[in-house]
Amino acid sequence: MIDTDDMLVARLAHGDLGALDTIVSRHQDALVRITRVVTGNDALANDAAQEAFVRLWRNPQAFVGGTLRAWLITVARNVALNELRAARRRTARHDRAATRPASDPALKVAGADRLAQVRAFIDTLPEAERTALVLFAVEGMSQHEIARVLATSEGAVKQAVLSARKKIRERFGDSP
Amino acid sequence: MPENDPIDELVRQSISHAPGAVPGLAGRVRLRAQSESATRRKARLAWVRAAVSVAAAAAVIVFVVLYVDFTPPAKPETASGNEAPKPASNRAPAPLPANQPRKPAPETAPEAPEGLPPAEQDTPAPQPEPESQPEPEPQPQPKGEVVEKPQPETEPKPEAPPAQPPTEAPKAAERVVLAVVPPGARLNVMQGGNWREAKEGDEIAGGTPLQARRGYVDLQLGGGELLRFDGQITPSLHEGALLIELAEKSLYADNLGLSRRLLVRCNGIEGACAGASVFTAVRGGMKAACLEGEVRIDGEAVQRGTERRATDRGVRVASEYKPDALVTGAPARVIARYEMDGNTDLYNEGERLEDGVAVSDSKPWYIGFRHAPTLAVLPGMRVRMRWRCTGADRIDLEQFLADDTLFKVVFKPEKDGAWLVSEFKLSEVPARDNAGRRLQAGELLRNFKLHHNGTRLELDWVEFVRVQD
Repeated sequence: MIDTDDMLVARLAHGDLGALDTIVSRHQDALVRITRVVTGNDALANDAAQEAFVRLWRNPQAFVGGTLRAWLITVARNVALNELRAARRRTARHDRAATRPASDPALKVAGADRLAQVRAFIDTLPEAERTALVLFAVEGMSQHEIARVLATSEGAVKQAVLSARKKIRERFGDSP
Repeated sequence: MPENDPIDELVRQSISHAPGAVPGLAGRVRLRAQSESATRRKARLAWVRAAVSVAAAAAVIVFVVLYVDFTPPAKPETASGNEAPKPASNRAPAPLPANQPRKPAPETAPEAPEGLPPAEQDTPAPQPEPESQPEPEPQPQPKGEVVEKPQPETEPKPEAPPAQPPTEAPKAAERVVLAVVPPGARLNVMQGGNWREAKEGDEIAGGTPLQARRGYVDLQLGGGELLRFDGQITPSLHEGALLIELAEKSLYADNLGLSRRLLVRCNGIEGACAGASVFTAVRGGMKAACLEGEVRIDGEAVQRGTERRATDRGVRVASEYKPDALVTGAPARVIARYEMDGNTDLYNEGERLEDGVAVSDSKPWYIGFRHAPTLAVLPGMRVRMRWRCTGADRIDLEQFLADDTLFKVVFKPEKDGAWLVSEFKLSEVPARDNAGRRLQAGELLRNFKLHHNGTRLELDWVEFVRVQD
């Protein structure tokens, strides 16, 4: 029988490292992909994912209902955004120009495959839009769940997803 | 909101093709979890210990309150309960009132150190005897630093025996000179709690805080390490290692090939370098980048060309490191320098010393000298020399290895009869018998020769340096 996330979290409360291993292997890839969408940075995404798992280990009681993946994404996203803000403050003086997004990322990756171009374009969308879209389209989360992750209303989530879709459609057309 | 928008499929495909977590993520999470568990256990133990200590102290207090007679000695008859009356002076826990002037004992018997309640001495353990000086001084006269004046302090100080003669100052900590301030260094040193501008030639002792006044400060220590920093550091020797406390900004350190360990500490994080690295103070921790050799931070390895950040939350995954002016502007680190002043191990096969330069103006038409047997090729190593030649159109620079393999580069003097400084990367000097072979890091150098076909060759100095490319 495969343990559910709820069962695994319950085992965490008893210091079961095996349960933690299972949770990590089950969610790490998705968590890193989503966090990468948020941050646009591999290292930061991995760090934030790591921090989310450790926080779950430290205090499993903090997970109160809902899906574990949504909870982990919420924590990792918050960690990543905090770190991103701090990093921007630190580096703003030195390489302000370097942190500015490219004006046309699609051109920047010209020659790369279409999916990479789409990914690069998604990186240029506002954080709330790209995260909402990815959570909706890739993770299959409901508007309600996304609203909880983003700490916003369902209406705002809907607006963000529609706006992101529109921009992608304008750039790449309709066909996948 | 439409559930099956074609854009969603496009997004799904593009995101799903992105790589997932790095391979070691699960392991790192596990390590941190284990570490947190251990910390939690320790914290619990500490609480248990504290609780036990508090309980024991409470028990002692209860015992003292219940069973100890605090009655003043003048009124022994007031003792009550089932305790037999005892002389109060044997048990009184309170020390002498601190502000009460202490009268000197007229007896010659040794006196307890100041502030120590005499009644508390239950064992006649040999105590330092402040009054055991040969001069019997029955009067309470001040005796300089030896005898303390009666001070209103309650802390007994039995551990301060006046064993040293009063005239002998406390022995200062051993002073180790780590470096000498080089010309042009814009450096402040901490002296007596204040920053002062360092002058060329000033000695830098271990434990002295150093601060870059402007830009970067380059220091090559006596041990051979090259340091370049733009903030504040404190170098010192610690258990045979060079320990650098990094207080702010960044430090570039190069100790590649040296045996002395180099440790850097900042915000409670320790890094180690056996190569070339950049350490940067960050909020709550430190970053370490590896340029060459082996670099670790908080016990974790940092791969060449990457940097990692460590805080009390752990060590982050590596990210690419791009050197900035701290590294690209770093001076060459001198590995070995040969002045033609009689200390260099010359061949003496025709060359001679003349006014501080080696001269070859007869057969066998070269100047040669031997290296120390431990001189090994390092990545980024170069040979530099100041020389002058007359009437030559060909110079052969030869470098032999310990196994007699000859590496050689031939060049033409740019100017006849003028002093020139030339530099060659060792990695670009080919073997004589195999043009495809180059000097490799780790190979031991044995001797150096400079041939010419002119009438006179002069060599002022030769140095082997390392430049971080």
